[in-house]
Amino acid sequence: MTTMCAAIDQAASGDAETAADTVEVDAHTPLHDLADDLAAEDRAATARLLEAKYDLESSIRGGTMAPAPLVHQRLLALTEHIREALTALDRPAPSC
Amino acid sequence: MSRHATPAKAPPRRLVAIAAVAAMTLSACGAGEPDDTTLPDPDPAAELVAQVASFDLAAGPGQRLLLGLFRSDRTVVGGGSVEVRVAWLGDDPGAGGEVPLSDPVTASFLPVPGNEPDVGDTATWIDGRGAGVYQARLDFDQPGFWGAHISAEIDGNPHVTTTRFQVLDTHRVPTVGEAAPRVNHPTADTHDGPLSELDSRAQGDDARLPAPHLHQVQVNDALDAGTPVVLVISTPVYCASQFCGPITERIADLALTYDDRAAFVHFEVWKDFSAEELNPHVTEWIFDPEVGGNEPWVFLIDADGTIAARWDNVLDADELESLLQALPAA
Repeated sequence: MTTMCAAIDQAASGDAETAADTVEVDAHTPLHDLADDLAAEDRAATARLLEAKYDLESSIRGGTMAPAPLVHQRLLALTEHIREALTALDRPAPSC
Repeated sequence: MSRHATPAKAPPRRLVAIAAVAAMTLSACGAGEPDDTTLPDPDPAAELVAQVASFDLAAGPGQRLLLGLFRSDRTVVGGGSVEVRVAWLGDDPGAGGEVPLSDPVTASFLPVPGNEPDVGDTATWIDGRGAGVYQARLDFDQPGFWGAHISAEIDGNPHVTTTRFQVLDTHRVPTVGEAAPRVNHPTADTHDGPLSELDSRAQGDDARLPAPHLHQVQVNDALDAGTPVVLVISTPVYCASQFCGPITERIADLALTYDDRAAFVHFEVWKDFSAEELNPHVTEWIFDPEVGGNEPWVFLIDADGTIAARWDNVLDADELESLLQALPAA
């Protein structure tokens, strides 16, 4: 969550590139781990998490970075699904 | 029979994308000079960790061994090459002990297509975006449980680690030299249902296929017409592999260049991810009812319907492109 909160702040300040780097470098693997754990408990929530993850990745990969406001919006959406996942797994889900 | 692998002369129902068929990750420390002719005991304090990323290793020549290398903090290693030695441990997953290692084989870095890290010709801890694996071709002359000893110079510093993996007696997924399964599957014209069943990216009220040209042709029709086929089986949205990348996009790009040499088809893995329902035409290819399956996969099918090449997990896009260039243009 710390990583996601940092990325949200970076995108909110207009720096989509740094936000993207933060997510790709520090959150990518933990997100996959989270999805794996969640899939055993709640497939529908896992679907929402992965869909939000894909929405974000599609806006920050492929050489064409989306505008910072869109990246920010998708980061917020993904973070909410992360919190949903953590809650479903009975783990701490702090707000930013 | 010799229990060694030699360098190749040439080259639940739940679908899970696992980094190893059946692996237990071990690690060994580079402190001192270990006897590198036998598989060392694991060192839990070691910095380098290895994980087998191959999906379907079986006894036989030219097996594609993929290794993900990480630091203990999950930082990925990339670039250059590493040295791999393997040893047959036995038929029992708990087998171990001192076992002789094979001659060394070079495993070269293979970046995830579309997620290539900024690395050079030597192995380094990736500081930034991107991921990849180390790829080697090996002949396994014996099914069972094998150990791999990996030696790497990372940022100029020596590291060693070990890992274990299973080599099956026969492949679970259709492999090179076998006839491609003949399955019926929907195309964009024939599909009657949500577009997300054709491509998981096609979601929402405004759903449309991002790569419609991958959903125009029936594999069977192409083969009957004597046209080679590139088949990608993937789930762009629900990919669970640690090495996920835009593989479907890469195949879609190749299709635009080489559609005069082969037909290009995408099978979406999930009919309904939430309901854990696979598309039936996918189960024919990559799903074993007893042990499940993994994705993504890419297959190159010859004009005569024989599988000419296949890539599990991380596509070797250069290798595929070379093979496509060798096909006759229509």
